[in-house]
Amino acid sequence: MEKNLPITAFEPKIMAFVCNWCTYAGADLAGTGRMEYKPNVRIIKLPCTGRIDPLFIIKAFENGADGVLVSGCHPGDCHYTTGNYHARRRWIAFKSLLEFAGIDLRRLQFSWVSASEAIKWVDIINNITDEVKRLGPFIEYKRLKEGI
Amino acid sequence: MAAEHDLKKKAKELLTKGEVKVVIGFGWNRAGTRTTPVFITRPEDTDRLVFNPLCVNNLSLYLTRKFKDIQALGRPAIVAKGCDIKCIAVLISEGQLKREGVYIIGMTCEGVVYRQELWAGMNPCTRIPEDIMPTKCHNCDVRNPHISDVTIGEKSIFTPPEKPAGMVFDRIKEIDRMGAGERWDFWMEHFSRCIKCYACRQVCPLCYCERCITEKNMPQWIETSAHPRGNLSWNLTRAMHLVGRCTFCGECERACPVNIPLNLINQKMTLIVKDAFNHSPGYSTEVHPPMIVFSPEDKEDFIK
Repeated sequence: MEKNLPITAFEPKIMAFVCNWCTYAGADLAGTGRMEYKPNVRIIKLPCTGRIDPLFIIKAFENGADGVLVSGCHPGDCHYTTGNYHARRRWIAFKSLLEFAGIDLRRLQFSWVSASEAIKWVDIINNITDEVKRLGPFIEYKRLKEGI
Repeated sequence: MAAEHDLKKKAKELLTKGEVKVVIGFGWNRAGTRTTPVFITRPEDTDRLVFNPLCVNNLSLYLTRKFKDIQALGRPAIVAKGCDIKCIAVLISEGQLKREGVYIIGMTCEGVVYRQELWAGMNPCTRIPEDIMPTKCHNCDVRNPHISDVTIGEKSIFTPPEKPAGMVFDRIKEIDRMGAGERWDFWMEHFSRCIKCYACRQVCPLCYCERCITEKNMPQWIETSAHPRGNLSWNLTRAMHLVGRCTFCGECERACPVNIPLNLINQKMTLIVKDAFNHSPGYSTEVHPPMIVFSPEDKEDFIK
């Protein structure tokens, strides 16, 4: 069904769960530097990637996100010393679980973006938006929502 | 049977001496057709205890804080197969009970039946045929209990296959070979049957939260109605909460009234944990579960 849609008609919703200390500051820097990037992303700021419960990601898909990005400090840079290491463990398990359940992992991406990496942030957002746009809407989950 | 005789004797001795206040074990149901958990508090009742291939339940469930009334009885002794002891080990490593807080009567075991009704008409003294054993028994490396205060029964000489084999693992491989869309359809077909009875949670010795995430409704994280959307998030969340902890006792799948193949998802995660963190749950009471620790060397090839 998604193949029949003209590509321009679909603007994906991307949820970004970011940590307060690195990625959010990086996105902020992109803003203050007046860099332009795709407006499809909705950012949710959390204290640390360690705070990101896998349920957040499930919930985002449930509520109509077509793609989810999770981003935090580079290993070793965590404001709380080890939060991102714990998060990384969880992601290893969680991404495998979603893959096993049949979710395309291009819809769920992870990155490390530091406070100075505004350019990396812009690239990541542009890339994930293009990629999810090509994949089309997350029709499987939407069907689930409607119960058909 | 000699083992059963020893078990009764040991239980009687423990209760008479007052070393334990309750013996959690298996007994016959009234009709004598299947086994059921029994809680023995008086030495004269120990004759009710049995042990045979019908003893499928994982009794370590009754050591958790879900059963406050059993905890209130005092120090328990538990009749446990090797696979049940794995669960007890995880509970100890997670600080749910102390090693000295429970007397483990370890039973050597030559396998149990997959479902009790498969045994109908068989003599409980006979050896169990392999084709009615669950996958966990085919791969069991703890037929001689690895942690116990006393071990009862004849020593088993079974050696498990090097790589996990059997129906569950074959089906996991099958699913791995599918494409993403096919996998999605496979799981949706199964999860859509879920009626949210939470039997999987209630029977799981490692689901011991006093307040489950699904009961938290401010906000409502997981929808409680039996709708495919909430069913998916419930089953994924439960699998996620068992990562690195599940010992493959198989009780969730056995308890599931609509036969969702929960072992597949839990064992897939066990394989991943083994591969990524080299951890197998249930073999030690000292090692931390992998999800509460980390290593700076964890692989991160998927992170941009």
